Amino acid sequence: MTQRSARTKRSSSRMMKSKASRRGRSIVVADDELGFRELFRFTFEPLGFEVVTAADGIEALDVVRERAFDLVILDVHMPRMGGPEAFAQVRQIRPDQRILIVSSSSDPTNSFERAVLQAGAADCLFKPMDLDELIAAVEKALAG
Amino acid sequence: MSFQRKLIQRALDRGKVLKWSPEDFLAASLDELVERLVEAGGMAFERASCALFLLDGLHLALAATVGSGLELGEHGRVAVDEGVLGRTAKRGEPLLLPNTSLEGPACPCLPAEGSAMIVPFALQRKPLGLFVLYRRAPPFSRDDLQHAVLFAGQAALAITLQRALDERTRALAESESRYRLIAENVADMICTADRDRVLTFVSPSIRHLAGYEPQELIGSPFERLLTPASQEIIHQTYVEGIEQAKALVVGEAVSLPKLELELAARDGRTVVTEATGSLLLTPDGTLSFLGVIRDISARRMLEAQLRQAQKMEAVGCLAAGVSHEINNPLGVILGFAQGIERRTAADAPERVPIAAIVREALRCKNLVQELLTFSRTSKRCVEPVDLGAVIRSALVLLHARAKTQNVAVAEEIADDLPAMQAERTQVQQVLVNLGTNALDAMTSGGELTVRAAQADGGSVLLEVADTGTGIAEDHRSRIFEPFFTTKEVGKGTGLGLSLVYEIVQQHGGTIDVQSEVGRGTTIRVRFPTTAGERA
Repeated sequence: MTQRSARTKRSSSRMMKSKASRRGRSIVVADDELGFRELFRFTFEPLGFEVVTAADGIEALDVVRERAFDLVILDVHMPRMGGPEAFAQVRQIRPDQRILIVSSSSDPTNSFERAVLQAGAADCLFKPMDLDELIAAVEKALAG
Repeated sequence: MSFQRKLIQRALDRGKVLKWSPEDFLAASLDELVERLVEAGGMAFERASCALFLLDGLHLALAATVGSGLELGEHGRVAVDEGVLGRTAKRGEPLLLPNTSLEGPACPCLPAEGSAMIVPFALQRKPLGLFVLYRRAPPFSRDDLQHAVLFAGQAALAITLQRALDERTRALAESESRYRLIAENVADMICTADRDRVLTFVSPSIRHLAGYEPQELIGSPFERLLTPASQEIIHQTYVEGIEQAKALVVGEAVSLPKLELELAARDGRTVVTEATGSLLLTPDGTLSFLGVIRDISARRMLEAQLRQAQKMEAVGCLAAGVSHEINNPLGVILGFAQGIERRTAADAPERVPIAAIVREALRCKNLVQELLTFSRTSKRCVEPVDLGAVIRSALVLLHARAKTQNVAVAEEIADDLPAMQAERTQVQQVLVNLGTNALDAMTSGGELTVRAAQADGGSVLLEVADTGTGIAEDHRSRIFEPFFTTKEVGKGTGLGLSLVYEIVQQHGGTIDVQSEVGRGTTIRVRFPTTAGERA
């Protein structure tokens, strides 16, 4: 455990350095859980990201319509507009938008998660996810 | 001398003359009777030969013959109406032939020299057959004919009675053999006992049911077949039944309530059975008990499995319902804790509490994940799995702990293991859980053996054996129940083995447990090599 976080620490500090060269990396996080929105800010702002949060799919679409972001992170279950619909609409606005799905789904078939991966989502994580896992997934989505 | 006495005296005299006695008319079968009758007939008239024909539809058939001179070979079966025998039978009148040579070709069946009597007999006007008596000399007299008619009349009665008796005996034997066939061939055990519950009949199915021979039980009390708890039950029911039976009249029966009884099998097993019984009053006025016992252990086992599956399902439903609600806050707690942990210097005083939050949050995460296994909502990823490789990697995890407990670890993995379609992490979990349990049972040394081999029917057999404390008998049926644990509070969740069970089920496999207290436990898991999903 300690070994693993130490390794990640090295990689995160590398990333912080690279931030200077790629200023303005930006993500939108749509999650109805305040805790998760706060967690994303707490985790990614120190890494040099611009983090914009939305409490549901509709808010996320408003933000995405206004300007371009490097990555959109969508929760699956949200009031008003959930992840599946938001995913489709974001794709309509910006067909090449990189999207990461974070699921707390208890749907036994995981049908949405499988479908979005086929539809070109960068990855699909399941809550509660490990922080290392999350950072690695975001990095990979941005690189890919 | 009174008239009656005169009659008796006459009968006795005649008996002396005729030399027949009532015993001549007693036999065990019709075949024996006809033999005795011709013998008695031959003896009754000095130097006479005697033949007996019985009416068989429209023919006379030779039933028995004694003495020489009567050559009836080709006349053994004659039509009524044919020849002198047939015509006499039809007419029903006795015929005296003092000199057969005078009859000539009319009687080809009789010798040309000598004397004969042909005596038909009937009962209640129903013709039954006829006697033929013959001797060379002296010729038969009218008196002889009269005696012969008398003899034939008694023979008619004896034959009729014997036929009725034979028919009864045959019917009885048939009915008995039919009942015996049923009693001896049904899977249920049928028994009878007297009013004191001493067994008088036990059907052979008891061999199959409980390993006893019927003979060794007959004469013993019914209770000998039962466990002490069931003895108690039957005793009570029986006392009540006897009370009710006091009002019985012959032929009636009291049905005892259907009971679930445990049979104490000869080898010490307990067999769960369903017993029905009745008390009946037999014609001789004694009470007797009739019981039918059916093995329902297979049904019980299925019911238990079903209950188990339902329990798992309930846990799964609950888990699926709350996992969403738990995963969100847990994700936040874990994420923040890990975030803070990485920003805290390794020697900072907050490092310990933060690491503890991370550790405990991860534990919760695993627990939720385990619970979700029951609802099958977690991601399923079936792939070809090399069981040998999974075993080796799981054993690496167990080795360190085994060493501290002085447990030797042995692996016996067959070379020709086929790959199985399974979820690798779940198979790993099965091994780790079984291994951990095995180590928990061997706190002061022992031997842990993990075997894997190809089994019949396209399956692989995984065996985890320990030499530990073993599982107490009353725990054995519960070890796969979710939340059942014998470990101290905080040491076990009671999910380990039920998870193993669930995973094996989801893979379409089977699991069985052999354990002996003080000797150790062996758990055998059979995985199909092709992907299996429980319906």
